[in-house]
Amino acid sequence: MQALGTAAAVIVYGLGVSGIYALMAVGVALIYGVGRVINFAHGAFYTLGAYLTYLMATRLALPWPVAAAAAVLVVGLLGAAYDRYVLAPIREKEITVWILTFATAFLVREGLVLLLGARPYSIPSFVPGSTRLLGQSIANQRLLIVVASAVALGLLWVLLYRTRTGKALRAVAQTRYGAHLVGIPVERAHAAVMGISAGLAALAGVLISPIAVVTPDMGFEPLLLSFTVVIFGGIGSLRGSLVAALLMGYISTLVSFLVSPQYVTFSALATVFLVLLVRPTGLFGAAVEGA
Amino acid sequence: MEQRNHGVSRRHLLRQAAGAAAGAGWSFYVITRSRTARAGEASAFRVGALGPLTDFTGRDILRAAQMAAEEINQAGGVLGRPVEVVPADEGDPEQTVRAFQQLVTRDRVHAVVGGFRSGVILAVLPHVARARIPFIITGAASPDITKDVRRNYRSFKYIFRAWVNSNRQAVNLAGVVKEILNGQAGFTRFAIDAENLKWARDYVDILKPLLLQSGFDVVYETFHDPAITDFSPIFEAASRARAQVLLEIISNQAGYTIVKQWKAQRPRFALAGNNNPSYLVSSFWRDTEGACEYELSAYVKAPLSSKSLDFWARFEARHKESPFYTGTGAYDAVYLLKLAAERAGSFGADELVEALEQSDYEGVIGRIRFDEDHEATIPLPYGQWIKGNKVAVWPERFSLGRYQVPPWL
Repeated sequence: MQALGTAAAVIVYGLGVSGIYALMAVGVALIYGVGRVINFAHGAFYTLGAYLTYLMATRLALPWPVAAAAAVLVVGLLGAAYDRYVLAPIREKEITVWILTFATAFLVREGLVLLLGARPYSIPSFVPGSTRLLGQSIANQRLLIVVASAVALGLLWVLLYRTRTGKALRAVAQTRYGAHLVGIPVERAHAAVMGISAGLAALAGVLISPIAVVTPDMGFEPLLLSFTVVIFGGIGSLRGSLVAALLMGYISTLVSFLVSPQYVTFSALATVFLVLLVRPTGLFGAAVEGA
Repeated sequence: MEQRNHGVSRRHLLRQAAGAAAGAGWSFYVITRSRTARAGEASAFRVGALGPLTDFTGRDILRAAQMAAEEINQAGGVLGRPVEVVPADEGDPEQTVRAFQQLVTRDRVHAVVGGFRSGVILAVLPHVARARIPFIITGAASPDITKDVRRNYRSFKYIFRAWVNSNRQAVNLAGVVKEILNGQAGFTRFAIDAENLKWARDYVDILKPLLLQSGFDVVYETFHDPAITDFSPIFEAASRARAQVLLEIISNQAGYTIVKQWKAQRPRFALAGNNNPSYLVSSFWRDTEGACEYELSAYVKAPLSSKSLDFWARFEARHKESPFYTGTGAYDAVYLLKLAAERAGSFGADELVEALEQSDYEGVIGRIRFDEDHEATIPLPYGQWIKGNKVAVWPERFSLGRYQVPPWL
């Protein structure tokens, strides 16, 4: 029973960790695929999602789940506006764009410290309590992470592969010039992708906050992890990012549960290192897909 | 011509040397005179308050030092002079060394109190030895900070600590385990989870043998990445090992996460130990939304002396939050310096050191006497979170309540 309980925990936690990794990584992959931008501000969207949830629930007295949904939406719109008004004018200067996103990450961090202080904030679980699975107590918030990330990623897949908008975004990823020639509004596509990515990052931040705490620095580690996942999966490959997120999520969880939490980062990075030695383009990097 | 030239040159050199000597002498006279004059004119006993001023760890050093200074000044000052607190920001080692040097050279402080991060303070210590300024540390807990006091007394006698170093914290926790977790609750099986940092590893190196010597079982032991966001695997492993208590040794924000996840998952063990965020007595309950209930951890508002509760009440009334431990120590440190100066009848560094060594003072952190390593011999009390309050339960002589076993166990 104990072994079954551990197995249940590994499955659920692994899916949850993978889900968070995937929500972050597909955003990075999308932005890179469409705009060739390495977005260092991606972690800031994750952080903003959590902070806005907290602020809307405590200052505007919105119920927590409503505040969470509103925060994801607002960060998505902020992301689109950020692309439209900040990145678009300098889009052709690739290095400047990268540096600007880097500066944005720190600007958001420092702004939060100035406005709200460096103290941590707490968000309660959206679904309080825990569920017993094969004798193992699993917090309901963890189950919500699994379901919500799966739904969000599913919707993203539908958007990209079953709608005209998705087709247009993939066309821009393949060739900006070609997409422009056939009448696709390229700048709008860039803004849409940034908005979607920012919203996904915010969702990851919102989902994880009830089991951790909200701090100005909370976005930096997920940012690095999402870059690692994207490189592992193959830069520019959405499918690669999803598979890599799943693999890294389960490697982390298995090592954590069966060996020791202190070897998690080492083992995940060692796996990436070994894979890149064998396949320098990552798991799915050879055939660059239309994101 | 050559001789003449030599003669002129010699005379010239002699004149220059004499001039230089006279100049140097005059400069020395002027500098020392101005120093003496400044010291003589100086109307204040200046105390540097060093700490990370942008967060509560340093802010409370300054707040508490200023509170002490105001009280001392209202009562007539020290040897007829008012106390003046000079803030200095603690950042990375290089910035902090600069801040310390400014305190010494620009602000001409007579002593310094505070210091939070061990790694940073270790970098400052050689400069303390060179500057020969008494420095009473009230936050940094590494045992290495005072290790040279006995070894190289002449240089490092200026360093004191009005706080509990991490080795002694480990001994304290072993006492809590014996007297409370075993003595009152009957627990015998313990798991240890510490952050993977040197201080925490050193802490475990002392704690674990003490637990084993007392006949307890250490059924699981792990070190986590300080950036951890998920304690589930640790909880699972501790549960699998049938631990009755998980002893946490955490100094950073993971201290919030662990109690939140402990509450959400309700694993079958109690939580106790050293959790630095839990030192924030007035906000930890709020910031964890009560998830910390039943956690037993270090630092609490306890009647360690007749002054303790009164100080906490005044601090809370003034600042609307409880003092962090760096502040309680800093408050006492300013009083220790006052008393030392009065005993010595001087503000001289060596005289202050000698007088500080004779301290036997009832402060808000307990009765303070310094041992040969200049470590204050004070207790670090433990409290348990119950219904929004952290209730002192250890040591028994200061306790305000009894330990309660979490009801789901």
